[in-house]
Amino acid sequence: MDLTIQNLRKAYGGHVVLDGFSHVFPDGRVTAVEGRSGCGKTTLLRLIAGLEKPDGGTISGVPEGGLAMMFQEDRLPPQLTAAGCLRAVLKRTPDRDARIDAALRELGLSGDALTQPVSAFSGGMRRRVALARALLFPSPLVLLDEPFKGLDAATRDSAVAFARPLLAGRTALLVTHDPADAAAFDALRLRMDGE
Amino acid sequence: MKKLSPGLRAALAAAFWLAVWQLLATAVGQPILLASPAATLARLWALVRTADFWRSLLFTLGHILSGFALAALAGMALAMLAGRFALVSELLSPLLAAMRSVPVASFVIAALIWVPSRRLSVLIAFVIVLPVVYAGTLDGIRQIDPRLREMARVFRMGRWNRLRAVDLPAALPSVASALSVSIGLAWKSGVAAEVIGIPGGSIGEKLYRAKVYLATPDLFAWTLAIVFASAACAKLLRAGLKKLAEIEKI
Repeated sequence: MDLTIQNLRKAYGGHVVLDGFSHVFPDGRVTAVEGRSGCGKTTLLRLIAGLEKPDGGTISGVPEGGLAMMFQEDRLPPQLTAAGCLRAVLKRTPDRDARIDAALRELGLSGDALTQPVSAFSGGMRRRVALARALLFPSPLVLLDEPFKGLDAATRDSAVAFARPLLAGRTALLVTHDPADAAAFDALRLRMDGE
Repeated sequence: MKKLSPGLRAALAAAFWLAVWQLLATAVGQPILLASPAATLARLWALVRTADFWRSLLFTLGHILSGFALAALAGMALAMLAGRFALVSELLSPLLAAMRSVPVASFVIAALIWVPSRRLSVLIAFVIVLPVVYAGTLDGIRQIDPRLREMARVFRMGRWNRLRAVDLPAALPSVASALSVSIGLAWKSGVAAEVIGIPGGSIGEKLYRAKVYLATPDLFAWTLAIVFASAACAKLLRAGLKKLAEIEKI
């Protein structure tokens, strides 16, 4: 089902962030959402996720069972291990723990990293855990807010390789400042600042 | 010099104060004014071998723990409501401020008019503990990271997972600290209430009689029993809270 945004408006105090924004995000495709800072990309994701109420307009096509989201910040419970952060949001299934282990290993998180709380992790490690959490969460709609920010080139490449198959067939909004991200996911492109 | 273990240092500190106590008692030389540690322990040993000691201990323990448990539950429930609805917080604020500042003796005398003296320590432990647990829990709730709450909402985390992954780790230190402080307060205020209300078969009654008959070794022995009982309750509580902290791990 397409994610359809119609005439969306949102202002904070007197500052208008979205003024009649409309767009259809096609079902099963990744759309790279681009634009200068402050043009409303993160606000759009928050409105879709239901974390903010729009001042006007409609959003349709958000799945009933919830959506997966990677926030601009990592938002990981600091006392949990990487696997704990994922188990906290993933329903218990026979293969859950094996999938979590495989995902973390693929993202280069193994050995000591599996037993430490995420508060002891570097920023890049936490980013990868947050990415794994969003991508393993079984929702047809995925919102990713600058998912590769702060990763070095090699880690970014492995994170992209990890994400590509997991995004296949899902509707995803990928907020990014890097044009290479759109190419990596064969994504449609949307510029929100009209430039 | 080899560094002493914390346990040994604590034991040495206790031994130092026992020695000071013994020296003072020897210097005073009148057990009616200051019973020595030896006389106190001897009296306590005699008391613990009587059924009446255990009946009194159980009576006071039961009443104080009942008041403490009721206040802990009510304090946490009210703080949760106050954390969610600002109106509840504003409404409770003057009442709890008054409860914090009213002297225990005033509560006790007023309560004697409303409840039988046998139930007095339950009520007094309740009114003393409630504002402490309420404030601690409210403070704990305010420590919960709103960004993690948003994350939990987006991922539709179940109530149990949300509690142990997001809410409890942030709120527990403050709640635990309030509970640890208030178990001692419950004992102090509960026994004080019993001394004023003199319910039959309570530790407070025993303390009152010790005062009336100038039985200073009895007074000291019962006080020591209260200190041990209060410390045991605090230790058990801390062990329970430690177990609770372990369920945070997913």
